[in-house]
Amino acid sequence: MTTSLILHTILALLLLIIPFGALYVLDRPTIRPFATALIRGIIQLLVFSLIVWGVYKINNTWIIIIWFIAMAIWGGLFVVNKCRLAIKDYLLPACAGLFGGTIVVGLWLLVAVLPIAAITARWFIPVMAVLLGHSSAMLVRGLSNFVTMFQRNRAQYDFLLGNGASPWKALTPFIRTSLLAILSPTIANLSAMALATLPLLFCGMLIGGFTPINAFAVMLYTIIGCVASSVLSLGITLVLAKKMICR
Amino acid sequence: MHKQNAMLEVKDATISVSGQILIQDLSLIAPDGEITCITGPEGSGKTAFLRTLMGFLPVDKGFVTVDGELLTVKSAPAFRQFMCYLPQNIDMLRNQLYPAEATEANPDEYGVWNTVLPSAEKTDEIKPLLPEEIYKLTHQIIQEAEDKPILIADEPALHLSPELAMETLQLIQQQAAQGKCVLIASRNPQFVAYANRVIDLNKFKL
Repeated sequence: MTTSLILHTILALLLLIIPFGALYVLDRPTIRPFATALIRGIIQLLVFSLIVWGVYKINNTWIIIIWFIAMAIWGGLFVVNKCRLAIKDYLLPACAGLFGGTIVVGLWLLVAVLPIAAITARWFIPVMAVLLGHSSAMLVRGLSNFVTMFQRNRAQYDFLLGNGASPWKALTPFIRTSLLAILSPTIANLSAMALATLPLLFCGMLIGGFTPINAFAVMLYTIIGCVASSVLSLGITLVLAKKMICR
Repeated sequence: MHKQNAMLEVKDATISVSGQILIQDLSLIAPDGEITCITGPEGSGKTAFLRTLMGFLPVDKGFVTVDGELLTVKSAPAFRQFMCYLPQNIDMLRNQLYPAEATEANPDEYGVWNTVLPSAEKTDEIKPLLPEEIYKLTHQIIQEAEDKPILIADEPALHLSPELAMETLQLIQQQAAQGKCVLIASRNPQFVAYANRVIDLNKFKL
């Protein structure tokens, strides 16, 4: 970190005088949790940045793969914890779903879609991180919806099986609502995009030096990739978790 | 595989659930065109017996055949294609009558482009169907399975008013009159009285 960067960071932190000042005047008890959350967030971001910085520096294929596997496992843990499911039963399907769904779509983006000469850490990490982040968030919704709907409507599954449906056919209503659970926020987000909000990623690319047209293109590729990888991740996870869910 | 005749036969069947024997040495023949009623007090194994006939539970001893062909847990999926099943908890099949809808999501609620991470999806408890809705669903299920030669109904009168129970009984009688093999599990006196054959599971206890 250069001296000028430290100086800029201090200048940015000075802006915190405004929220802390407002809290000091209006609601002092909130200052402490606000400060704790802020410090924790800064430390998490710093640690993540240092790891990515290290991976960028080394730019070794194996390190990148290990980073990706570690992120998929972390994402899987996040999903299983958020869904309040048994780690021993659901961690592997969730991790494999995230890994499989993200790697397929991510490699398609990197190899075929994005105009880049070679897959380096500079592109691999942000693309995979965005896909993995979105897929994890959607998998929480999709998997929890599937498991809850199945537990509450077990009678429907048994009924469909009893009337001659195959196990997969009997699961179709639950897969359908689970798919809708992950697509409905995406549809809602896409409808409101650029009207109600300018997405953070798009603004980040503008700050990073992209022209608006390039930022639009990359944003578009990323959104399509996010939707595809979240659906694929859910599909792989459900295929692998079916035995646990239906037992 | 196509079945016109679907006589169900159970021979010396012993059925247990979680290591506890519910039924021992039960034999019966449920011919086409007749209503066979399995009766007995709560917990006597009526549902377990029907589940065995559908191949969800194995028999410990004895065997089950459909039109002379052996029904096992493994072969059951093929046989179930010829069965119409009305489960005991039919009142919980709301989504069979009204397809489930996805919960609404607000724009910017989720998605990595706005950095908000979601919590697990909250879904409402299933509201049981009303007696009229249960009758409507029963009617619908039976109509959809018009070409299936076996009808299995588990406590079809359980959630119904006496009037709707009678109407359901008539519906089931019509199915038997069409030549179907009808098997019901019921404690309802009307269903027991109108059945062609009655099997009391109390007689097949240890």
